[in-house]
Amino acid sequence: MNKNLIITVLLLGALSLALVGCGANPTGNVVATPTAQQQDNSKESLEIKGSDTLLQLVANMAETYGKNHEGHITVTGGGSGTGIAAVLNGEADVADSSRAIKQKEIDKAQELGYTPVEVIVGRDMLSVITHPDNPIEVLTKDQIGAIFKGEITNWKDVGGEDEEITLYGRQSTSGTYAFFMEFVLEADYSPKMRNMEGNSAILEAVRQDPTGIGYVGLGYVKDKEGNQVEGITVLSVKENEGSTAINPLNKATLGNYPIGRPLFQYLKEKPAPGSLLESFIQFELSDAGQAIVEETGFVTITEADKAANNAVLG
Amino acid sequence: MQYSDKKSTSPLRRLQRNSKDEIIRKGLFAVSLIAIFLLAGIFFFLLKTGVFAFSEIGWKEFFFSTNWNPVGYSGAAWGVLGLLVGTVLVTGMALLIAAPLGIGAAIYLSELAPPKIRYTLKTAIEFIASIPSVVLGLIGLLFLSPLFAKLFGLTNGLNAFTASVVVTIMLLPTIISISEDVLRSLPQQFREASIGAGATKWQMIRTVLLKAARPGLIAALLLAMGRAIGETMAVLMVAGNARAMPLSIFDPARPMTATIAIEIKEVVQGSVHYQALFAIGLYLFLLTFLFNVVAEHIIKKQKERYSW
Repeated sequence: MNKNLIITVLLLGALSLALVGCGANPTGNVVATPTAQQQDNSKESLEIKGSDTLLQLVANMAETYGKNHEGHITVTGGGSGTGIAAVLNGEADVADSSRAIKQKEIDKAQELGYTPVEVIVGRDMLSVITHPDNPIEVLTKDQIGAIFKGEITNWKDVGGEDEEITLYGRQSTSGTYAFFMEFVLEADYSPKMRNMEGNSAILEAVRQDPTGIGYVGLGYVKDKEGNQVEGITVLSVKENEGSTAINPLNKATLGNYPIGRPLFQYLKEKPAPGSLLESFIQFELSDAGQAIVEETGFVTITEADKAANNAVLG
Repeated sequence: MQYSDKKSTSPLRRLQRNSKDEIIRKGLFAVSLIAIFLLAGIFFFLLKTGVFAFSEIGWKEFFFSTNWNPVGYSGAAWGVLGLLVGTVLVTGMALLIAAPLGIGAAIYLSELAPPKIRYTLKTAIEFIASIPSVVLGLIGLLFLSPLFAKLFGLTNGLNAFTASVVVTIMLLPTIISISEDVLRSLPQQFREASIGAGATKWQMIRTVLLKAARPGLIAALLLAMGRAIGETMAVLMVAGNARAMPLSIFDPARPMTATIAIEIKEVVQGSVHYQALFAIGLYLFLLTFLFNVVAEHIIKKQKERYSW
């Protein structure tokens, strides 16, 4: 009936279609770090792929590295297995992995004619915390698992007072949630666990709840001087009934703390001296790189880790 | 000369004016169409991604299972019923608290308060409406939750009840201002007639004003309910967010909005989890849509019944 109206309607239709179109963008979680404004083919580039646990850490390191160095580093997630497979296929230069390489994967590499190199770039450790009014100071890994699975629901069953346990954990999207589940529970969490927004939220909740128990990154229970923060108890953990209890605040025995795992990177072979790969790995293991490890919420490598790294990198 | 000049331009002017009116009328019509297109656009946006969730997830599981566990040890579970119960619990309780408080305050403001007090109170109430919900969430997290834990002897105050109290604070300005407007818009003759017939002030309010205002008051509550269902930030901060379905008002709850907001940040685009969150969004959209249609109907019926 009227040109104006028809045009307006058509425009609005196009607008709403465009709006609908915005949703379709199936990209993975990719963190690219261009180190120079112009990307020059002659510059070396590095493809890093693997564990989502390490994704943020390695991306942060690549970003800091890129501030002072040439080269183009791309860091993507997808999982430890995906990363190792990509390195074996030659699709990536470095595999981030939150687990040790499997014998099957080593066999496959040797079939292809090389021996993968293992570097430990940091450690992932969780402390288990309770309220200071709670008399319990030591638990075994199994007991902690049973508590978070909901099999043990009363503190008296692990030698405490007759009180129901309140569980505090992370949101299901957090890597910490998955690590604790796979490493300590080896089963589903109790649905009664409160899913908190982050480490600080768990810390705050346990501070206020005498019946509470929660897990947080090691960085969150220490102040700047390395002393324990107030208002909580950091539990000592035993691997099993017979072993000695280790407190994660004790630096000397940290390497044997049961709720922890090394964070690996796997390379196809020993990096060539002077290559971008070699330079980046050295940066990760340097004090500057390890400072980023701590900032991202992980634990720096131990003396034993350093020795192992030096042995393979030479 | 002058006279004839006027005469010759006058029909032209009239024509110009008419076509200008026409343009404005059509322009405004087009603007009002935007709402329809937005509604349809949002619906298709949710549908387009959300519907694919059902290629992996069974309808029965999605709607009737209470187990929502997207990152399970031995596989994921996608039951939304527990989340729906969380939403209904928080919204229902908030309305239960806010309705008597809000309508009571509106009666005071409209019928009883001296002008000076009325003005001060109205300003204060309108200010509450402008407080960002994240600030109310913080108050709930740091003040209300420890307070309720102590009052009710709980180990932790992050639960459905605390969330509904925070939502109540958000609903009060909406309910009070709309209800007050409705009451004040009632004809003065109603008051004069009932007082003249010997009613006390309270009798007049109860038997005449509240009845006449009923459609408007219901509309106020429904508008507030829409806001309560959609509220995300504050609820996410204080509801406790456990996966288990809440069985008491002091259990932690995990409303649908909070679940979407918490999980959408980290989820891989295009994954089943991503699609499932869109499916929850679609579910919420359809629920509120249905709800609005029913609400319109109720208001219309009430208007017919109590028309004056």
